[in-house]
This record gives sequence, C-alpha cells and structure tokens, in this order.
Amino acid sequence: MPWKDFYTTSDEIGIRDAAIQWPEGQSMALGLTVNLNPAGAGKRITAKDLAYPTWHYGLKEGLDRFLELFDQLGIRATEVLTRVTGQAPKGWFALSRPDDRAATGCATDDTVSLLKARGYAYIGNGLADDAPYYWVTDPAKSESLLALPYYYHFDDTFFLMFPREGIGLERPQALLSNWRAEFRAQYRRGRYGRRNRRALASGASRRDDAEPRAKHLARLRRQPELSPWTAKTFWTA
Amino acid sequence: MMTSQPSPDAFDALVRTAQFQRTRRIQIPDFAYPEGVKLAVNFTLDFDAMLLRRLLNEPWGQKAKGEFGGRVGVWRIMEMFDAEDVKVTLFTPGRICELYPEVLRAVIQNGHELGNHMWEHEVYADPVIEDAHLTRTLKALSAIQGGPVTGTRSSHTPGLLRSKGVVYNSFTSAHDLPFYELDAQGENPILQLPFHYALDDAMYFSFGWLDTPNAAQRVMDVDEVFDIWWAAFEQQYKAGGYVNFLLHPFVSGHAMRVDIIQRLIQRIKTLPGVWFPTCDTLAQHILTHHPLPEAQ
Ligand SMILES: [Zn+2]
Repeated sequence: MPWKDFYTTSDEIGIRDAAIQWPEGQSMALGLTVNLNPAGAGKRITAKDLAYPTWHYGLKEGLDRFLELFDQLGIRATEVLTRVTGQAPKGWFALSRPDDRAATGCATDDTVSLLKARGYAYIGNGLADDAPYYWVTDPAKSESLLALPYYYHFDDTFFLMFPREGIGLERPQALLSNWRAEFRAQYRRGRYGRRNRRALASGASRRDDAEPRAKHLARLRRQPELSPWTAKTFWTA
Repeated sequence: MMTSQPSPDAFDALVRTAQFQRTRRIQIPDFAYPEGVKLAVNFTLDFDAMLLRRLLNEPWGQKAKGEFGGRVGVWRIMEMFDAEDVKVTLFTPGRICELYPEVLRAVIQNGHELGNHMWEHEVYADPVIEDAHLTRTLKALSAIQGGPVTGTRSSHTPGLLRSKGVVYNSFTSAHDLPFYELDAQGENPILQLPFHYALDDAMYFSFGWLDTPNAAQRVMDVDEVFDIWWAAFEQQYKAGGYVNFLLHPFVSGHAMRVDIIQRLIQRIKTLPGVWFPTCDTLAQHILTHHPLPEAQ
C-alpha cells in the first residue's frame, strides 16, 4: 500500500493499553490546556478582536479564576499562547476556531514538517489516537513529531457560547458528562485524557445560577468514583 | 403569488409514480426469526476511516480523526464485541484492505463478517468505473474473508450487485423490518436490512456531519444517546421488530462510547429472545425461509 499518500499520518496500529507506561507508576495522564486566544473568526487576530469585552474578560478574571482553581487543586496546565514573548514554546496547537467548518484544527500539508524544522517538540492536537503518538512527516527518513491527543468532545469551545456568544448554545452539562465518561474509561485503561478550555468561556460566572463554570473542574475532581485522582500533566511546556 | 395547479396529466403521472414506488418495496408476509428469537439486533460498522474526509479534500485534522478509527477505534470496539460474544458486520471500503489488513484478518478470525462499502466511499456514475470499483472491492474483501462477500452498504446498482453475488444491502429506512426492494425499473430485487439515522452514531457525535452548519451542532454526551438507543431498542423489542445500529470505528471507537455500547449490549441481554447475528447470517435465514414471493 502506498502508506501515507494523503491517507494516514501514523502507523497501522496504535499503542495498546497494556503497553503504556506512565512515570512513577501513575495510572494515567490527564492534560489540561488553556487556550488564550481571542476566539474570533478563523482569520488573523485583529485590533477589533483585542478590544472585544469578552476577550478582556478572559485575560483578566477568566484566567485568574482558572489559575486560582488550578492552585487549589494542585495541578499544572499548558497555556496556548498566540504570540510568544521570551522563551520559545515547545508545543504548537492548530486548534479550530468556533466558526471553522471542522472541529479538528487547521494543520495543513506542511504544518508538521515546519514545526519539526523549527524545533518544536510536539503538536498539541493530534487526532489519530487518544494516547500520545508520533505524527510521521517523512517515512523514508523515519522523521516524526510527537502528537498529543485532542478531541473536540472535551473542548469547551464547542459547548459554551458556541458558535458565538449571544446567539450560541450553552451546554455545560453535556461537556461535563463527556469529561466524566471519558475519564472513567481512560482511567480504567490507563491511557490519556485531555480537556481543552478557553479562559473567556469556562472562566465566566453564570449570572443566572451564580455558579462559576470553572467549578465544573472542581466538581469533576470531587466525583467519588473518580477518587483517588492522582493524574498529573506530564506534557506541560 | 398563487401556486399553479398541476395539469390533470401531470397529476396522473404523479399518482402513477406514487403507485409504482409503493410496489418497489415489498414487505415480507408472516416474517419470522428462527425458533425462540423475538428480534434480531445487527451491529453494523462502517469502517471508512479517513476515506470520506480525504475524498472531500478536508484538512489533516479531519483525516486524522478518521485515521483514529483504523489504528485505535476498530481494535477497541471489536475487542468489546468479542468480550460480549456479539457477531457484527463491518461494511468496509476496498482501500481499507490495503491500509488496515491486520485488523481485518483478526476480525474474520473471530467470526465477524466483511461487507462491501465501495472502493473509496464513492459510487461513480460511469458504469465501467462503477463495475471496476465493485469488482476490485469484492476481490479484496473476499481474499481476506476467505469466501464470497454477500452484502453491501452502498448505492451501487442493484443489477450489478446481483451479478456479483451480492444478495443484501443495508442502505435504507423504508420499513422497520427487512424487506425486498426492486430497482428503479421494478427489477433486480435485493434484500434490504434497514438502518435508521436515529441509530447512527455519527449523527450525534460527529461535528458537521452531512454538511450541517456550525450553529446546528450538538455534540451529544454518551448518556443522552444511550437513552435514545435504549428507547429505540425497547420499542422494536416489544413489536418483535429489527434493530440495526450503525457505528463508525472512528466515532464509536472512542473509549467512552465503547463503554456505553457495551452497557447497551449488557442491558439488551437481560431480555430473552434477542439474536445478535451478522447481517449475512440474518440474510441467509430470510432468503431461505422467506424468499421473495413469485407473484410480484
Ligand atoms: Zn461510510
């Protein structure tokens, strides 16, 4: 078979549950990613996006609330930056914007090779596995880039203020149910879980029921069937 | 503006069309399962991985979403079916035999069935190309299966399918129970094992399915879908009907969904008289015990 040839990005069979080993005897890895982009349209960031009140909210109270919660829970998250100052990032995300016609990101034919050439250590939204895997860029030279799993069913972008605030859908319960169901399944398998959150959406308080959405995370943490929850984020930049 | 009335001739033509279309779908009188069976449940897996995404020239993220089905999802969901001792049918495009041969061999070894699902998920209008694709796909699948392929899920021409030994299709929802369907000329009857979109995983879980716009998306959680599917099963169980769950390994092979399908199977098993055959096993029962009545 003309392996790859615009069909596949990785090998024929993914890593099996039994073959996965996490450091320090941990049962599974859970990645938490905070996406700090203005979540505008599927175009470049504009001055108008940056003047947008909800973006302002996300960078202030939304993000603060996340950080406070993560502190309380003793977890570390990866923040997805749209512009880098200072240290070079190790990872790169090609996440979808709410109005993109697919929920799987915008990697092009060249993205992964370019990342590889620029020294990135991983791409953050691999969709061909739910454990970390290698995205092959050149099978002849055995060149590949680490891909961390992403699936839009665990990304708040598609559940809160979707596709746009004010006209959109608000379905926190479906998001929480997906997180819980996947966590249960992956914990049993000893595999990997990933939640993606936007500071501007999940960080927001709901005025109507006075319950911060960020508390969903705390609620997930408190589920009796999920304790003892010892997951850590191994892939923080 | 006033809507113009059709002419009497045009109206008669519509009436004739309606009458003809009704005769194309032939229900099976006194339909019965084997002794002791109240209803059959088919789990059918459309194992198309990234092929449709590729056909539509979608970006790599979309293709990789489908690739999950081939390298992870199909293994995981088949292990669950084997643990539950449920036999299933995988409607598989011919190209998959080149991309994922190892899992197909394992599937056959464990007693499941391979059915046709086009070469690369497309039926071409040119009859020469259509014939070539169908021939090539059946050859690739039967080589792995070690025997002829008897079923399809496709819009392939019924006459062509019959000429290649394909005796059933699972591509319509015109009735709850299996039935015979004639082609547009009223010929070439083929057995239909109907599915329904309400039992199609992709409708609930796949973003932008069948070109739906973003504002229409409802990525469902597994518990909601479990309830819908259980209600659908229960209704058919009471009626002594038929259920065909349409699953995609790239959708239902995700860990949380394998779990709810297993939970669904375990709950179904608490009721007596449920049969989990492959589509071919069911088709052979129907063709033997309920052949198409001659006087059509
Ligand atoms: Zn298909």
